[in-house]
Amino acid sequence: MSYSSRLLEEAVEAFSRLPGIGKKSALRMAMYLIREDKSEMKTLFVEPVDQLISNIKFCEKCNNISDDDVCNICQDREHKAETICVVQSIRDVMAIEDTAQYKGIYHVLGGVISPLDGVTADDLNIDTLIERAQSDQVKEVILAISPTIEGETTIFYLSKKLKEAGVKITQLARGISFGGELEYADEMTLGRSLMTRTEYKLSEI
Amino acid sequence: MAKLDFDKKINLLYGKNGSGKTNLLDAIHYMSLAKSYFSMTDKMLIKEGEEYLRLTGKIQHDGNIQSIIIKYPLGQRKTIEVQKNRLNNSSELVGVLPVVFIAPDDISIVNGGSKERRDFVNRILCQSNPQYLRQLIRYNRVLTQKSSLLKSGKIDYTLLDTYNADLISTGSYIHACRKNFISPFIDFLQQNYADISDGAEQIDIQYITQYDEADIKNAYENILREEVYSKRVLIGTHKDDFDFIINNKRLKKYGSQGQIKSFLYALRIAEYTYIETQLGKKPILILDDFFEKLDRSRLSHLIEMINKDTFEQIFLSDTELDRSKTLFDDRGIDYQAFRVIEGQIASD
Repeated sequence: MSYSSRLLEEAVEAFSRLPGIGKKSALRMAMYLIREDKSEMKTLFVEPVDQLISNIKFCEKCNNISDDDVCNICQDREHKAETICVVQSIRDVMAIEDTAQYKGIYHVLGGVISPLDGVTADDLNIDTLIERAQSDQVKEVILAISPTIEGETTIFYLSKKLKEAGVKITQLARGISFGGELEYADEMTLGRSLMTRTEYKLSEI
Repeated sequence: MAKLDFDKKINLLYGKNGSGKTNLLDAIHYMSLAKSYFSMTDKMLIKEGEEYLRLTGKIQHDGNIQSIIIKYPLGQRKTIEVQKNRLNNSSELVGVLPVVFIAPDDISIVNGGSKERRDFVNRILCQSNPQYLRQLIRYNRVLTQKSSLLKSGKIDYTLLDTYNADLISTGSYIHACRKNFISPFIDFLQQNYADISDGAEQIDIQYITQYDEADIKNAYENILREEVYSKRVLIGTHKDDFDFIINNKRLKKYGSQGQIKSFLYALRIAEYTYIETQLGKKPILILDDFFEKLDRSRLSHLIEMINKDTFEQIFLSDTELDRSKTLFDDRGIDYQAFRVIEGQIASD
């Protein structure tokens, strides 16, 4: 693409660095910002982005994204929470919060152990997790980590490390998805679902 | 692009060297295992200047028709559909269309390193048992992780223990499968070898492994310090080998050219029989450049097996039509011939 303006070119370059944004989308975004009212664009876009970059924090307890030193969830629930839910990323916190099924606190690891990608246990928030799990108040640690090979390594590793804390260690159930049909489930999922089948309770319906 | 209707029994592809016969045979292999027989990457399989590869196959078996579609657009993920259902993983394709491929460079199984022989055994076991393939993929992935950890020099014993526990559990499964495989396989092998040789030689395969189920945990623990020191993985089923034996000696070292060729041929037919017994269905047999590769006794053994209906669908390639034509016509064997010229193929 050839540009008549260097300012435009720089803006397009910047937008196209965002994940999932190509040059054409970047150009459309930049053109939108130029066309609309200047002050409105500043309040709508420039200020929030500037605020986000300058002021965003990571919760010093759970490593979730936060406006303050301690995130909302930790502030509201920490003093009465008996369970810690361990997740890979902040997006997983959002996903679990959306289910409205969980009332405990979280711990964001920041990834899974994979020396192949240069991620060792030291690169993840593991020490702080063990510290938190040792508090008398905590009764259970849920390892809500994806069941990939690296995820399972991380689960095994954490359960070894958490042994001394004397808490109950659980992981998410693996099985048939809601609305799914058995014949299309892969053998491993189906086999596992059979092995870890649950008792049918009328009250749950 | 080509659309071909193959004969349900014998298909003979003929054409000059470099005309594309092997490519077509490899396409059938690709449809079976989602990869090339000739360890080429998917990228290398796309014709120069083109942006994707696409393979569509309809397989008719016992009155059922199954369709397989494989698409690989350059730089994107390969997708595989069986009966319009998209597979999550290419490993799920394995076993749908079992295949045995006999190619001219087979000799590396005897002369090459242990990896060649492990690959040979793995290909048989993966096609006969989907669980084996999954455990093997997992084993290799965890092994790479352990190896990266050792290389990084950042030693974390809890993590090494974690990897070892995983490797012991998947490795034990792989080891058990290989152990159970070897004895029935040797029976098939010896039978085939006796059929094509004068029957004087004694042949055998020895499974070489450091694996001792009873003591495996200790073995992993005892070698751990040395692994950390040398920054390398020193133990596991990935170091297994299979020794080919003739008259109590190693075939690689003491076998004559003729003995090696007979052994290789017997090995491939045993592969066929083993997969057939395990799956309860006959694999597709592919013989690349078969006339060049097989001498008189092996050719007549092959013909005899064809006459006995040992195989179902066969794909053969040859540089000349006449000699193969004579071979089949003289024995009253029906076949369908396909002419291959510069990548174009047409039935006669």
